[in-house]
Amino acid sequence: MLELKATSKHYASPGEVIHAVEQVSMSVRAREFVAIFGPSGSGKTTLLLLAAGLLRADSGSVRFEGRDLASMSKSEVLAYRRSKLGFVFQNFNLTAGLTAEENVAVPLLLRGIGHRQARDRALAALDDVGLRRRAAHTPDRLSGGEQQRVAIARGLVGEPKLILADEPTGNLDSDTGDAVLELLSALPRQRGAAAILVTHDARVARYADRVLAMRDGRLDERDHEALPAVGE
Amino acid sequence: MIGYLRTLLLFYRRHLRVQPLRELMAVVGVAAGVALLFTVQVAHHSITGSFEEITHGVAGRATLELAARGPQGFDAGIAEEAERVDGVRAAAPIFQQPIVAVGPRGRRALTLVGATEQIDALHGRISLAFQHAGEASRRGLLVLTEPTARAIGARPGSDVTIDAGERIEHLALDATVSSSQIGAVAESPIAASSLPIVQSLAGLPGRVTRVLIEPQPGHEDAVRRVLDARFGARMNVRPVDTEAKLLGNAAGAEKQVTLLFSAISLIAGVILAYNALLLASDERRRFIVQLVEIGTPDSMIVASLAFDALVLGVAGALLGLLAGDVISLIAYRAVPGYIAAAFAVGGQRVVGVQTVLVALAGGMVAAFAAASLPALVILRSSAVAEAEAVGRTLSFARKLRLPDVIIFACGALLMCVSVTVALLAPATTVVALMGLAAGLVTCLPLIGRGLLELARTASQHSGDPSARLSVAELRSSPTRSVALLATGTIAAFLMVVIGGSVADVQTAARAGATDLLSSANLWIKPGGPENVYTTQPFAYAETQQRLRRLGVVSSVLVWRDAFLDLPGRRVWVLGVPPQLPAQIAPSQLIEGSLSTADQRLREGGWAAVSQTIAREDRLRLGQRFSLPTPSGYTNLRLAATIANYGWLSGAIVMNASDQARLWQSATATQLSVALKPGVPVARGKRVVEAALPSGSALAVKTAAERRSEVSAVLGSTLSRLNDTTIVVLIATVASVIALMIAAIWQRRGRLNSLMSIGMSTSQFARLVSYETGSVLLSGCVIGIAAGLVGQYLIDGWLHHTTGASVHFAPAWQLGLRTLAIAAGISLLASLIAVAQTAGFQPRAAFSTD
Repeated sequence: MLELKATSKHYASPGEVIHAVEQVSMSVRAREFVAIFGPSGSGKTTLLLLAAGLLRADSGSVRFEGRDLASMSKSEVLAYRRSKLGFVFQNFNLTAGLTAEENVAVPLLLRGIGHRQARDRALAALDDVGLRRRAAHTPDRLSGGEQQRVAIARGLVGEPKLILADEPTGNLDSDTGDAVLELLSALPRQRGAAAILVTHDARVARYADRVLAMRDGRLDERDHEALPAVGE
Repeated sequence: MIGYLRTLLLFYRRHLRVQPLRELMAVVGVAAGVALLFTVQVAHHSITGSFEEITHGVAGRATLELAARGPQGFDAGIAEEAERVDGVRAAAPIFQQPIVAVGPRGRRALTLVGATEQIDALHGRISLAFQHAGEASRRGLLVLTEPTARAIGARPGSDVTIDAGERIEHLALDATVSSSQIGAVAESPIAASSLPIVQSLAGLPGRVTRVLIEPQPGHEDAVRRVLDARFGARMNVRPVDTEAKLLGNAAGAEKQVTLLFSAISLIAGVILAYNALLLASDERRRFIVQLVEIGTPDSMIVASLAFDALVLGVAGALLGLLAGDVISLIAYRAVPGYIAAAFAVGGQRVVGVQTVLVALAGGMVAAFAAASLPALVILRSSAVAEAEAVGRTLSFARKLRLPDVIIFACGALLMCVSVTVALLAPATTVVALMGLAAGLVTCLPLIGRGLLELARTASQHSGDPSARLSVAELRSSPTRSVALLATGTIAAFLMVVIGGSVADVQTAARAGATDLLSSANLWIKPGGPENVYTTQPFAYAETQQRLRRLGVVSSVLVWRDAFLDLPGRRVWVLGVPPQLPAQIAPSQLIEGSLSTADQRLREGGWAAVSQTIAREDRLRLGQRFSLPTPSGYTNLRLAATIANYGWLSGAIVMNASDQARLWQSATATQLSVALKPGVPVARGKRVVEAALPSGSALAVKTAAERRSEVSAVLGSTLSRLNDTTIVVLIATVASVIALMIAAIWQRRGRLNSLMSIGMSTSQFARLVSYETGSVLLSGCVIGIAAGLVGQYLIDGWLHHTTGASVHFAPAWQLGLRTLAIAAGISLLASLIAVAQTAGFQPRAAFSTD
C-alpha cells in the first residue's frame, strides 16, 4: 500500500547538511501496524511527513497504492491526505471551542460531507473509542487520555487507509498511554487500515506488528526482542 | 533602587522579545489618541495664537484702542484728540482694509494695514519691521511678507494688482518682510502700506478704522473712562486684545466640538491599546505565575505591570507627538474659511508648552487606563492559577472577580444615565458622550458572549465547515473576540458620531445659505470666496441704475451686510432689502411668526436676533434692546429669534434701510438681481456682466454659483473633523489586521493540524474572513447604533451651543459605508492570513524529531 524506495530527504542549515532520511526503503501492507522507533533527531518524523505528502523527497520515491506522491498536484495531495490518511498527534490538536463530537466530525466536514451524516459517523467513532457519553464535552473538560482518544476517533472517522500517529502517548502517563495504544493497535486493523506509529519509547513500539529502528536517517528492521528493555 | 529598576527593565526587555507585535500595537493605539489630541489642540491654538501674535506685534505697547463699528471708519482727527487726552503717552491711527493681492502666480486674501510714522512710537515688532522695510525702499507703497510675495509670484519692484472691493488698483511692491524678521507671523495674511494709500484704496480719505493707544503707566483705567465718555457712543473703546477674544468666541464652538472628538479619539486609542494588551494577557499571566513560583514579592509584580504601563505611555506619547506634528503640518494647516472671512488669521502653527504637556499627560492617562484592566485580569487569573500550585497567592487580586452580568448592568446603567443627563442638560453632552462610550465598552463582554451563542446556533445550520470552525475559534478565545468586537464598535461609533454630526452642521449652514440666495437669480458683490459674508461695501448707485435699464432685468435690490462687535462676540448683521417679502430665511426661524416678523422687519425699527444672543440677554419677542452701531447706541425691537445663518457667533437681521441709517452709509455690500420671467440665467448673467462699469471689481454669480461658494466656505466648519475620522479609520484597520495576524500566529499549531488533516487554503481563508467579519460587523452594528444616539445628542448640544438650526438626520449612509469598510477589512485580513499560510508548515503540527 505504502512504499518508499531509496528515499532521501536532506535539510540545509548554515554550515551543514542534515541527512534526515537517507536511502530509506520500506513498505507497509494493509491492516499492518508498523512502529518506527528511534531517538530524537533520528529522522522518524521526517519519514512520517514524507508518507503524508507534507514533504517531498529529494531523491527516491514515495508511492501510495502504486502512485508516486511526487507526481501529484497540490490539490491531489490535499485529497490524498483528506481521504486516505488519518492523523494522531502528540499534542492532540483538538479545536478548543468544539465539542468532542464536533472535533471528530471536522475531517468529514472539510471533505464536504453533510452535517447530519458527519455527526452520525462522529458519534459512531466516539463509540468505538468508548467516549460516546462525552460527545458533548469540549476539550478543556476532557482528560489527556480522553483527548487523545477523541483524536484517534477523529483520525479514523474518515475511514482512511493509513493512520499516521506521531508520538501519540508522548503527553500521557503510562496507564493512559497503554489504553490509547490498545486502541491504535486494534481499531485501524478492524477497519481495514494500516497504521504507522512514530515513537522514541521502546515500550510503545512493542505494540506494533513490526518495528523499524531508525538512527541517523537510516532504517533497520528489528525484532521486538532486539528492542531495548523498558526503562533502558 | 537601581537594581530594582534593572530588574523591571529586564522583565520589559523579555516582553519585547517574546511579544514585540503586542507592544507595538499597544504603543500605536496610545499614539493614535495622543496624535489626534495634539493635532486638534495645535490647530486651535494656532488660530488664536497667531492672531494674538499679530495683534501684539502691530499694537506693541498699546493696550487700548478706539475701533470703528463699521467699514467706513471714523474721522482721522480723532487720533489727535485721543493723543491729547491726559494720561495718553502715544496714539497711532491705522486703516485696515480687506484686499486681494494678485500676482503672476496667484491671488491671496489679505488685510492691508495703513499706518503713519506714529506707529513707531508703540514699538510693535511687526509694525517696526514693516515700517523699516518700507523706509528702506523710500517709496512707501506696498510691503508684503515674503511667503505672501512668493505665493503670488511678486518681486520687489514689480506691480501687484490690488482688488479692494469695488476697485482694482496697481501698487509697486516696495519690499518684503521675512520670517527671520517677524517670525512665524510672516505666514499671516497681512500687508502694509502708508495710511493715505490705504485710505485712497478704500475710497475713504481722511478716515481710519482704529486708533491704537498707549496710556502712561497706571493711567489705563482713567484714560479708558475719558475715551469712553468722549467717543464711546459711536465707536468701541476697548482693550487692544478684544478682537482676539472675539476670534476665540467665533472659533469656540468648533474648538469645543473638536476637543470633544479628540477626547473620544483618545478613548479609542485607549481601547486599541487595551485590546493589544488583553490579547497577550494569557502569556503575561503565565510569566507572572512563574514569578510567583520563584518567590517574587507581590510589590515587584505590581511594579512590573506599572512599569510596562509607564513605558507604554512614554513611547505612545512620544510617537503620538511625532505623528501629531506630521498630521498638523499636512491636514490641519488651513484656517476654516468662515473664520478667515472675518479675522486676519494666518496658517502658521503655534505649538505651546501647554499643548505638548496636555498631549503627554493624555498619553500617560491612556496608557495606564489601557493597562489597568488587563493587569487586573492577569493578577486575578494568576492568583487563581497559582493558589493550588504553590499555596501562595496575590491575595488582593482574588477579590476582583465580577460576573459579566454585573459588569454589563453597570455599563448599561452608565449608558442610560449618560443619555438621560445629556438630554436633560445639553451642556453636559461632552461628559455624557464619554460615559456613553465607556458604558458601551463595558457592556461588550456579555454582548460578545451572547453573539457567539447566536453564531454557534447559526453555524450549525451552515453547510460550510469553515463557518463552524470559525465560531469554535472565536469561542475558544473570548478575550480576542471581545477585543475585536470592541475595536469595530468604537471605530463605527466614532465614525458615525463625528461624520453624522459634521454633516448635520454643514446641512444647517447650507440650508440658511440656500434660503437666503434663492430670492434672486443673480448676485453681484466684490471679491471672491473670502468675502463670503458679503461685508465689503461698494458704491452701488451707478451700477444699480445701469442694470435696471437692462431689458432682461426685473429688479435690482440692495443688500447691506456687516460685522458688528458686541461685548464678547462678533455678529453678522444682514441688511435685507425691505422690498423683499421674505426678510427671514424660513429655515432659520426659531421663535416667532414668520409672516409677522417679515412684516415688522420691512416696517423698520425691528430686528431678528440669533437665539443664543437673545437667550444670553434674556430678550423676549417684542422687547426693546440696544445695539452699539456706528451711529451710536440704537434701540430696536425683537421681531423673532433665529439661527445663525452659518456664522457661529450669531446673526442679526434687519432691513437694509435701517442698516444704512444706523451705519451712516450709502454703500451696498451686494446686489441681488431678479431676471424677467423666461430669461435664461446664463444669458442674464452675460448681459449683466457686460453692463457693469469698466474696470469694476464686482463679480456676477448665479444663485447656484453663490450657493456652492457659500457651501465650500461654510462647509469648512468642523470639516477638519473628517480628517480625524480618517486617522481613526487607519488606526482601526491597522489594529484589526495586527489583531488577526497575532491571533493566527498564536494559533498556528492548531491551524497547522487542521491543514495537515485536510483543510484547504480556501477553507482557511473563509475561516479567517468569517471570524473577522462576523465579529467586526457585529461590532460595527453596535457602534453604529450607539453612534446614532451620540449623533442625536451632539446635534442637540450644537443647537444649544451655537444656535445653528441643526436637525438630526441619521447617518445611515455613513453607517453602511462603515459596514462596507468592515467587510473590506475582513476580506483584507483573510487575504493576509492566506499570505501568512505560505509561511505555515502543516508539518509543524508534528512533534520535532
